[in-house]
Amino acid sequence: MKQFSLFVCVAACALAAEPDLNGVLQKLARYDYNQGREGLLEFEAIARKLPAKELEPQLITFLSGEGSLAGKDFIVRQLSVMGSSAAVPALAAALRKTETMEMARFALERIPGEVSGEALRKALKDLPESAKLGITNSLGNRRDAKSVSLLQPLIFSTNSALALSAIAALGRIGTPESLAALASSRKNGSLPAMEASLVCAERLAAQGNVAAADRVYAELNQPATPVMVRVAALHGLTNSKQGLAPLAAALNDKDPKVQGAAIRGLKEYKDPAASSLLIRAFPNLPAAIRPHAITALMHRQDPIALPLFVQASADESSTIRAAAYTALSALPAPSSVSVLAKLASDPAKDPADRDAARAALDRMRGKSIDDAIVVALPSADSLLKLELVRSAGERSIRSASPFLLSLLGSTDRSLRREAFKSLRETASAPEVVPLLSLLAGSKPTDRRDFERALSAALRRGDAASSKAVIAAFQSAAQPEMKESLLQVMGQAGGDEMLPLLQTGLRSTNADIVRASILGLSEWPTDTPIEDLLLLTSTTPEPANQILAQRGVIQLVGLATRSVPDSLQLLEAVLKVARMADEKKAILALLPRFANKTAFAMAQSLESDPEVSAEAKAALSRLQRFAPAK
Amino acid sequence: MKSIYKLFFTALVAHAPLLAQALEPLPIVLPKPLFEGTPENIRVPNLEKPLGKPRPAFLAPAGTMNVAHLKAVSGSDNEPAIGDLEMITDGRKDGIDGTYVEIKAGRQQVTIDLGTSYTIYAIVLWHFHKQPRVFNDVIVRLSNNRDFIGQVHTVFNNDHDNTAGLGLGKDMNYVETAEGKLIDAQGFTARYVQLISNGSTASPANQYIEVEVFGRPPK
Repeated sequence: MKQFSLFVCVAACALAAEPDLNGVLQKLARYDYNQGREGLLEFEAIARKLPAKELEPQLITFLSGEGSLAGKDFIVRQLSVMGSSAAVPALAAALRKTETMEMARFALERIPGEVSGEALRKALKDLPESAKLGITNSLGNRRDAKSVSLLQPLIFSTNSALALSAIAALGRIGTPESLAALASSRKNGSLPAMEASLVCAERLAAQGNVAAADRVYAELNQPATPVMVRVAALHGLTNSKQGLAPLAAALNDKDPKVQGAAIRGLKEYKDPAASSLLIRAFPNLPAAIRPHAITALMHRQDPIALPLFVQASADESSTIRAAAYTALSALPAPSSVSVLAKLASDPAKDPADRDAARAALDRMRGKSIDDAIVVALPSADSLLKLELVRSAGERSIRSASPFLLSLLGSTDRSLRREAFKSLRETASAPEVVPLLSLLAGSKPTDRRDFERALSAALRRGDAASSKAVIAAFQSAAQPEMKESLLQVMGQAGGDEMLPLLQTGLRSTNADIVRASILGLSEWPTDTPIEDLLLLTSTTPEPANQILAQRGVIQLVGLATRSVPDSLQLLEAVLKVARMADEKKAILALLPRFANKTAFAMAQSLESDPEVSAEAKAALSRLQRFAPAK
Repeated sequence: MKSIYKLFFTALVAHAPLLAQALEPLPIVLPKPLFEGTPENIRVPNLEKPLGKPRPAFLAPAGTMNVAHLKAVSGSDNEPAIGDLEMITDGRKDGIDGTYVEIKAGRQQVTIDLGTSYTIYAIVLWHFHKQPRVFNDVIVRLSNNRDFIGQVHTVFNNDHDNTAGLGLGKDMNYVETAEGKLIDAQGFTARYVQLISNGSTASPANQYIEVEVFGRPPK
């Protein structure tokens, strides 16, 4: 019995939850535009659950009922989405009433099938002229081929809006018949008819009727045709097999818009002859159009345009030159290397030109370009060489490294400087040993550059490279060489380097100790922290003690250790720190390890006049760890 | 009233050596202003109001020139993501791509080695002026010691909460413009100029276009 009661309850609840379409439709019958949308949302929720076959008859009934206009508007919108031929009679009836005409047309336009199309055509025949405008639009939107004969007479309507609407509809229909219907108006110079014909031709071409489309484009590409129509016709001819001749002719037109359209057309034109045509026409084109012609040729990626690009790179117009640089970079050719490098290195040229040529040289892709740079380097004059060296670095050309190495002994300071800079981008394992021997005999002024180049080579190097550096360090007699190699090892990192830096801390030479401290302070992990901590109080040189303190603080800042461990390390540094700078650095770190110990450490410095303000700043950030009063 | 007199005399005494010499405006060549993108609202406390007119000329003893041009630059990031540290003293301050260096995110420093000590009157620095942005914790220090140990002169510091760990600063935050930031270096003598920053309102990375150090060999 209990189970039965439970079943009844569940069934009752289910029934209560069942959507009540009738109730909602009754609400919709009273709905008006200025009311809340709750009823509409309720309907949509129900409509989503019901099959269209069940829903549609009720909506059709609603449409022929006495509901409000706003309610019917809403229902017609629903029918436009899910309605079928069954809804057409009701909608056709609604089409004949002024107040529901537009909403019914909206739905009929969207309901697929012959029945809805026939309803619209019948309405176009029967309804007064004032109602025809919207219907012509709908027939055009449906691309209703059967309505051509009905629409054609409307082209000549005295109602200009209706005539324009009919012309546009015929264009959208896009059949040979609709194109023929537009012919007389087009030939009489009607601009709307020409525009509609272009739309029609595009549709025909898309359907494969290219010949019909071409005839329209050829007919409209005439000097007497309005410019923008000609521009569109030339665009159409881009895809035509017969397009080359009219596009070539248009290049010589007096109107720059037509010339521009011809260039755009030739840019896309499939026949390779288009490139030669553009090149031949180039000298006679107006200056304003020439950059577009260069861009079109660049787009075609045809190597026969290269000489033109080179010639244009020396043009007196900066816009043409800029287009030429871009084109040269987009069509990579080894022969362009020297052209661009010469331009970039010429001090007589405008700086903007030099930058543009430089950027083009760096943008050219391909190994053949890299090889051309490497080949050109030895015989280039000094200015050109400087530019090629710069580009070798910018392009990270590994094969340029041997020649770059040979420039490190140059007496030309700019060249040496640029070679160092580029080597930082190109040097790898093969350059490690040569760089080591050059470093050993280097002048003090070049030492830093050698260190940076060597550390870059070491980073790209292999195990043998590291071994070579370690061997050089162990055999180095001069302290300066050891110092430099410690800097290099510090910058390059690597576990195999760590023991050497640790050994450097115990050197009797203060500079070597300094270099080791700096190398370890920049270490990517906190491994050397204990070594540095030991040095904060044991190394005899006070400056090195301070550097070691800074090193510990820096490595604690990596935050790789626990909060108590980090604070313990900072406390140890604080005990030996004599200078305000290190205390300030510790105070800056304390809020990152916030706890009561950190608060107490900051508090202990509050009375130190040198760092009192910084201690107060740290305390304010650690306030929540203040002991309860 | 007394305090005004005191302030006046303190300033007079401090700048007495300067007053004894012929002063000339610094030969600062400004780059063309750049504006890229849509400016964003910058909400930064202690922000300097824009002057709304060109910066007044800064007077320094005749013969003062940029002594940082092409001088060696080192820093906490030797492998910048964009450009090279050398760009900081290469004389190019247009601010377009290819003229600035971008170093790592967070607190970073760059140090210019002037090669020898100079009496420094002003420093002008351009971090990034393509878009308006405020760089955090900008600190400029001068020293004759390469490790900045011992006598160090902090000539600018807007780190108001010691985030950078070099002490509290009282200078104001400022918006980057093509004029760059001119800092009065008060005639301190130094060989090394260190600049610190901690990202900006636009990005955690640090950019530098150019730094010019105006000075003369000390007498």
